[in-house]
Amino acid sequence: MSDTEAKSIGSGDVSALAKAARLDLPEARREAVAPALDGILQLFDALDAVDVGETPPTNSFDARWRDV
Amino acid sequence: MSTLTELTLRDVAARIKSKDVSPVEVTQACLDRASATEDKLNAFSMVMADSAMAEARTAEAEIASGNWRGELHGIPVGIKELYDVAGLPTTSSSRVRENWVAEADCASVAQLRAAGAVVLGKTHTHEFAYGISTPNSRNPWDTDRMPGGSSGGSGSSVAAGSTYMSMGSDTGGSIRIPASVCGTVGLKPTFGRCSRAGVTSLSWSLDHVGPLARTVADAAVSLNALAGYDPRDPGSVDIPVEDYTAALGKDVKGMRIGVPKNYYFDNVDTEVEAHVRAAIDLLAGEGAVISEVEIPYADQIMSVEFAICLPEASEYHRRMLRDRPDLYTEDVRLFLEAGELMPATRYVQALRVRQLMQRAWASMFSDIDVIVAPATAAPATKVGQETIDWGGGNEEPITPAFVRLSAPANVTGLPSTATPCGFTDGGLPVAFQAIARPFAETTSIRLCDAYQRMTDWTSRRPAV
Repeated sequence: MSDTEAKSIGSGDVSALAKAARLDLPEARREAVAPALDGILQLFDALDAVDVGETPPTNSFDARWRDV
Repeated sequence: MSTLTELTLRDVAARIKSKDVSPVEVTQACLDRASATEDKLNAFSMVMADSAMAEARTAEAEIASGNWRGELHGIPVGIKELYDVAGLPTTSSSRVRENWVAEADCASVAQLRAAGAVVLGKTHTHEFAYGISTPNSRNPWDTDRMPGGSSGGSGSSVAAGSTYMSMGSDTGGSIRIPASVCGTVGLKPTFGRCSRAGVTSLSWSLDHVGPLARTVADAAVSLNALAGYDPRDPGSVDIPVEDYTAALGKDVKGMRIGVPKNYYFDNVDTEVEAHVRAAIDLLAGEGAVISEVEIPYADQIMSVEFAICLPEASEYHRRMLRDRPDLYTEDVRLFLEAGELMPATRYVQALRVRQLMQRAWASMFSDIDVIVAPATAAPATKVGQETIDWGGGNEEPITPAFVRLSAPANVTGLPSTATPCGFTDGGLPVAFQAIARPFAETTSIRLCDAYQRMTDWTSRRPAV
């Protein structure tokens, strides 16, 4: 279950998100991206069903210095 | 197909060692095989006939003078187009990188060269490894069908007999999917077991490199050359490397096999399920102990896979997407654009759920040694096919349909070997995968090799 009610992503939403991402998306691209992004965000809603508590992310910065 | 190209890597290696055949003869046979099949398969982005023959002559001279390096010495191999080979373009099968030339060999190519392998050519990938169909190439079992992906050219070249082993990379199944649908073995090692240095990234947190080969034994021989710590790869893990061939020739008596009662058999082709369950029955008949297991966090597996892969891939491509967006193919461009627009918190949330998933899988493995499950939900689909119809109005796009059974081993980083276990009535290969504990490649290899010696699936060759 999602934390908030899912709302479909439209071309206007994509325009705002692309602006924030500093990504130039012409109208034709926004029309193509909107349904794809909508489907992807719906897939991610399943993550909300998990109570992650105090669990840290899997990757963490390694402060050791290594010769590479 | 000539007799030489029908042999397994280990068989031809034995003949090279005994000087029954020379690497020059073997390499010429592979080049002839590629020449005879490439108009139908297009498995290779580049066949390097001149340099391969030069390398073969060098190997021949070394072996003649008593300096046989091991089973890969003089063996023709294919290298996925994502891998850097010094002086050659690493195009990632994309127009975006058609002029990108590698300055040095990637870690895997350097390791294979050190073992004496002959680099026959570079094999096609789905553009930047971001897909499961590899549209450039075809499946040797049915050239109207895809070879899987993203390492589709590698699967196609091995199945066709043009190489004895080809390298793949696996972010959501890209070694095991083409192996499964092309009828080869595909071994995805544990995350951190093999260096990815010099291999174009799709997703740093999920990428693995590994071999596709005709038999489990051939894959084990290859892994012996590829495994090891490399500080240039931040995911590399510094633990001892085993001799993976030591796991060959053993039985499965007492091996504890977990068979998933959820997730892995949901929406699976009926012939695939029947072949995989028959394989499990055969293993049980040989003394393996079967128990059912519940796959934890099943509803989150694909969410975690994509919530990690999308933003990492989009960040890797950030500059290229802005400079040359029109040079991407439509499906990859769409993924990259969408990945730019998802919330950063979703990415971090997925990394946290991944941690819980890892713990839950460790708990699930407390009573088992290995999971056996279908490698893919379906055999090879038609070229251009976009969905799979599971019936009852349930139609699934092919990308999630193929990724969902392989993604768990990417998210958990566990070793998984795809092994042929039958053919559909239509003559298409089917495979199971054996997923083992972290760095327990030997367990996966032992089971798959034992199964392979009980059956003859890997001895069949396509008619292409």
